[in-house]
Amino acid sequence: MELSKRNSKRLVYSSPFIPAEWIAAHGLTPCFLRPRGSDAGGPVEDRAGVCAYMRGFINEAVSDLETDGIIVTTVCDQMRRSVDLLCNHLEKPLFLMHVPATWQTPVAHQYYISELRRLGTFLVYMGGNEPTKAELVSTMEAYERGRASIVANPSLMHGVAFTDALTKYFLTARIPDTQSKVAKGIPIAVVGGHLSHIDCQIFTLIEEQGGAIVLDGTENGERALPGRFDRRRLREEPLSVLAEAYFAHIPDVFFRPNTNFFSWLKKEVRIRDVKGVVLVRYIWCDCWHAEVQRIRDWLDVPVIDIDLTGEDCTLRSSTRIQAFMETLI
Amino acid sequence: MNSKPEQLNLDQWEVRYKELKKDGLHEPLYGGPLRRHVDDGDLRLLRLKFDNSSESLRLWNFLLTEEDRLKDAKRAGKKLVGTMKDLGTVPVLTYSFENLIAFYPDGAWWIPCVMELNAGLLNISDSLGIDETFCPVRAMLGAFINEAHFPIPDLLICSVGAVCDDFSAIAQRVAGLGHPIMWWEIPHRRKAEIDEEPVLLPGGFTSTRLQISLVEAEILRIRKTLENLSGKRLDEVELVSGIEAANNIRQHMAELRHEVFSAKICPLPALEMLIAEMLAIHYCSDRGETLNVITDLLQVVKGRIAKGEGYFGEQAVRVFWVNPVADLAVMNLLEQCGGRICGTEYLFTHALDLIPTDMPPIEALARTALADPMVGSARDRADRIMRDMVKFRCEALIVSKIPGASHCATEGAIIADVIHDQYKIPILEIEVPPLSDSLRTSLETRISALIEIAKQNRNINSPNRA
Repeated sequence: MELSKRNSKRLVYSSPFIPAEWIAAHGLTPCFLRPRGSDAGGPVEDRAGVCAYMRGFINEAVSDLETDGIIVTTVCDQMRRSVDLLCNHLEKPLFLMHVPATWQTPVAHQYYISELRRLGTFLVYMGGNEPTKAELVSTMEAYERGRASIVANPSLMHGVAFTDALTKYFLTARIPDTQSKVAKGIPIAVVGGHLSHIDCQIFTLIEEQGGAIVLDGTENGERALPGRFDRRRLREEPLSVLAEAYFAHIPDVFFRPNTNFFSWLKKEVRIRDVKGVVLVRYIWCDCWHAEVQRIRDWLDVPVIDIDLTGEDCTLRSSTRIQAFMETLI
Repeated sequence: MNSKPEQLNLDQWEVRYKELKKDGLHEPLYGGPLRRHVDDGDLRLLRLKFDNSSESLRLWNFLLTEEDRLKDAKRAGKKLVGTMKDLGTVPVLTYSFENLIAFYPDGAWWIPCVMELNAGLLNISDSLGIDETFCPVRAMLGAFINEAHFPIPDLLICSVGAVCDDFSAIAQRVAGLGHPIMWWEIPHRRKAEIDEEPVLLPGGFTSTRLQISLVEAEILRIRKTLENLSGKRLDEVELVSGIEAANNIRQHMAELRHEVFSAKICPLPALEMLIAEMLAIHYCSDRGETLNVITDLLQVVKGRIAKGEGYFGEQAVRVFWVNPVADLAVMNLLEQCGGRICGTEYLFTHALDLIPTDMPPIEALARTALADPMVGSARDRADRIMRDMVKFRCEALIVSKIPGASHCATEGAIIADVIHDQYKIPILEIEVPPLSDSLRTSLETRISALIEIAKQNRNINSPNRA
């Protein structure tokens, strides 16, 4: 099914382990939603211990008139539990997908595939159509081409530009034309969890202080892209190939063990000649918070830890980033 | 030998102990005066009030000598298995092997309370970047570093997936220190969809055949790992026997809870009941002795009920308590405010339910693991709490938040909403840190207010149910 001819029902999600191709192949519109911030009112209240990103995502997804359904995963416990907060908002169907934390066993991979199938049933419920193998393959190939084009354009590869580019691609099948210049400066990697729109000021702050972001390793960035599809098996087992490209490829700290993330990070820092790492994480995000020191110990470059609240981070972070960048000069 | 029920502080227990010894008290090898544990560093005991029965003395001594038992087991050539997070299922499998002992390193979360922060475990954890925004189970990380509270196990087994983030993250840091962990997946428990057949789990939740198959495969993997460690194959007869032994303890524990929570007058205070329930998770490193301790407590309770003896009088408000407290002293505080515990949900009801025996044992263990209340939705958990509250005629609910625990950020409000929709009783959510002394006045005021409202509700003629 051509990407541009599609049922208008829009499904939002925030985990990179939800394959956009799977949603699109069912004739629905995938949208990797990046919330504006955490100030939207809604079913998730602002309480101590509640992750502001989860709050922002859920509240915005519920209130957004263009959103027809919401998909969340068990990658983090706060998102997993958000489902309980939404039972009074049944006008927006919600799907919770279990993404296994273990990855070293065939059972974990099989369970991920079974969850994709179950997601497929939900997508049919939402008005989609179960794709044939050929339709799924065609959609996967189109998305892979689109991703490759975006990755090949350095000016699109970080921050809001990256997610916007992917979002536009999901909706229109067109790669955005951009005239922005690629920033030059000290090579910096931004690594960590999700960023809302307001958090993307971090990228601007870094560039203003002489940094050039050569790696967006956040949950909305390059790190979260799936691997290349196995062409040898694509036509015969497209769903398996899709699952492998996502589950077996995307490095993340939530996996147990999470050694793959550290291997990936070390390799990318080395090959991109990164001089400093800005680690971004939401307050109350235990998954990333617990790894801050280990990331510092693991890398040979300086690491700064920036915690986020879903509100304007400029005041809190600009001096720290400035000081950090000065140490790298 | 046992006098009328009375809560004693440690000094009073010194006197009581001498009287018991004079009267011919026989104690197990781990017995002795409670004071000696204070000398070992368990300073919190100085602030607690204890039940005065010799059976409770046995309970406390059993709990507080676990480290010695683990060391003895290691010296005797047994292998130690540190089971993490699943709270109740893997130890059943482990104890089916003669030469393996299971214990929960998670239990270190109480060390900051019991030793009144003097063990320095939280400081160690802070130094590793695991600060107070994490649950007090971060003390476990400190315990693995200083090796001063339990022998380092020969094998660590940890459930992940549908578990709280802070524990999972802390366990990953333990692995990062060089302690390999065998991770196993527990999926988020969900109800069956239209094209699936629901499968009933112990305790009343439901799941699906697919989820049970996943957990069965994981338990088989755990069994294989334990067999490698033990050097022996585990046959079905041995496993069935292990399940029977676990069920024997669970049955006694169920009876104890039923007797205590249903009694007109409280026959055993909340603190001793909390410790007793905790034994059911991993048997405090001695399965046989756990049964003896619980059996003894049951006898005391039955004796007191028969004589009409107990604590706090008939007027004590019947309170249901959700989540274990990081500071044991708060259990005494509730009772001092006029409440008594008549129902509990300490995160591990699946360790109290009977393991099914009418199916293959691996499937039975898989169903038990999936019955973990923390693995599914908070609404399911609230429904079970509701059922128990009705059963034990509870008049108030306290949800005790664990500071930093990821599930506590949202579950309290959800549980309160579900209960309140059906059962108009006063509900209180409090946060209890490892040492609550500085908050005591505030906690006391809030708990007292809850008790007062519950008592006022008794005087209202309309039924409490909506």
